[in-house]
Amino acid sequence: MVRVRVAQQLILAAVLPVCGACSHVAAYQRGAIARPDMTTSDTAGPALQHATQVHEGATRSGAAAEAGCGCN
Amino acid sequence: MQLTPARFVGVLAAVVAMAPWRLTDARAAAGGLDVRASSEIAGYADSDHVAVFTPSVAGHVGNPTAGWAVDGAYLVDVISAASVDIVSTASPRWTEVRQAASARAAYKPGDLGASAEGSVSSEPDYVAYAGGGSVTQDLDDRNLTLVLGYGYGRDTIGRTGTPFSVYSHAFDHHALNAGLTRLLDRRTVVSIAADVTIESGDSSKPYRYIPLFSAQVAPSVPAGATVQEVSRLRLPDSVIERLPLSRDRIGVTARLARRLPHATTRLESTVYHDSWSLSAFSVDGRELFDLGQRGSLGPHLRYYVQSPVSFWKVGYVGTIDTVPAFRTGDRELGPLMSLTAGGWARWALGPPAAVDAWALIASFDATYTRFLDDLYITRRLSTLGAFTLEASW
Repeated sequence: MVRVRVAQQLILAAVLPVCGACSHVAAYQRGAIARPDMTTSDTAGPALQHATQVHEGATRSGAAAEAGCGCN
Repeated sequence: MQLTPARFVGVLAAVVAMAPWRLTDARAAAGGLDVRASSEIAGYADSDHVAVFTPSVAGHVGNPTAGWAVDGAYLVDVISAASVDIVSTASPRWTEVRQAASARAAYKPGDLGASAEGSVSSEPDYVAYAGGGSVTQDLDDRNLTLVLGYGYGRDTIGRTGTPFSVYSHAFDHHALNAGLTRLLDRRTVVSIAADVTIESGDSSKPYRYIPLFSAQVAPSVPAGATVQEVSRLRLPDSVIERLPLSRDRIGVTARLARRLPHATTRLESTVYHDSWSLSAFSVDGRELFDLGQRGSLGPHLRYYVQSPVSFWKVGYVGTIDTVPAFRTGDRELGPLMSLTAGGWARWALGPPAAVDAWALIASFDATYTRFLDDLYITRRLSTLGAFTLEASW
């Protein structure tokens, strides 16, 4: 447990300097953050994700990028 | 009974499709469950005579208090294509069906969590399996979240009409990702993630034939040369596509979401480079304006640009005896840029006490792609429209 806490503190110490402008947000202050549209995940639907994978060489990999490419 | 990929996706589809009813009953029994289901119907068409119809379903059940969640998704792509690449080989229009399914389970009872996921995709000439997992750690009173993940996938590439046991080649990919999400203030959250993918195996397309030109003619082959021009300039022989047997990719993505008084802004940008010397940059933005309690509406813009792979040529020099070691006609490996513009609207249909119990989402995007150094076409206009119905309990 002590090792885990030390590791957590080390990671925190390494990451926090890159976020000097951050302010601590308490749990009760997260009403806006908790909205579903505030996610930082990819919010594109499956069809748009597929089209992007097919059309962009940087994101295409595997089966999702192969189907529907219209290639020969 | 043997569990084939087709049976697997069929069973998963049935489970996901029945999820709302089964899980409503389950919630009554267990209480506290977060249950969601959605179905999307999308259609794609472009100026290169490719059309895709994509119905899909997805389901989610979880207990936020206990920290567990299970997700599943299933989709079908029905593709009809008579693109210039197909016409140039004197092949007729083809239609193909792809089925894909995925499932994910996550458990995060406290600050430390883990998830596992798997997926399968099947079409007549391409089968892919993938699996992976990730570990999540919250720090600084959940103002900072770290994630570390790994995934492995194996694809089998064959030819339509030929059993995989007679002709196929395999393609493996390992993916590592690490990222962090940070609350900047009460209304802003940012995330940064790095993805490294190591691919090995032959990903060449067995259908893709590359025209060859003499050393004197090749430099004068113009970008956008028509099928007739290529037929006139090329040598009689053509060769099949051949790609390098390994590829290492790295991409770094930054995302920002900010809540304004009556709107939400989302921005995303990615830089990418791989061992084939393809470099790329993209930026994506959405603004979602509130329309009262039930609606939201907003524009979507995306810009993407990439450089070609190191072995990219508009006209390859060679003869049947001396051919380039690597050659491709995949224009998504060539230099290109694209601009997408579209919009998105959501309307909650639920009763006043739970307006989000049902919601209808409509989206439309149009993408203009400029191919900067390719045979046959120099631009493509594509459109994609989708309707999604969401339900939650």
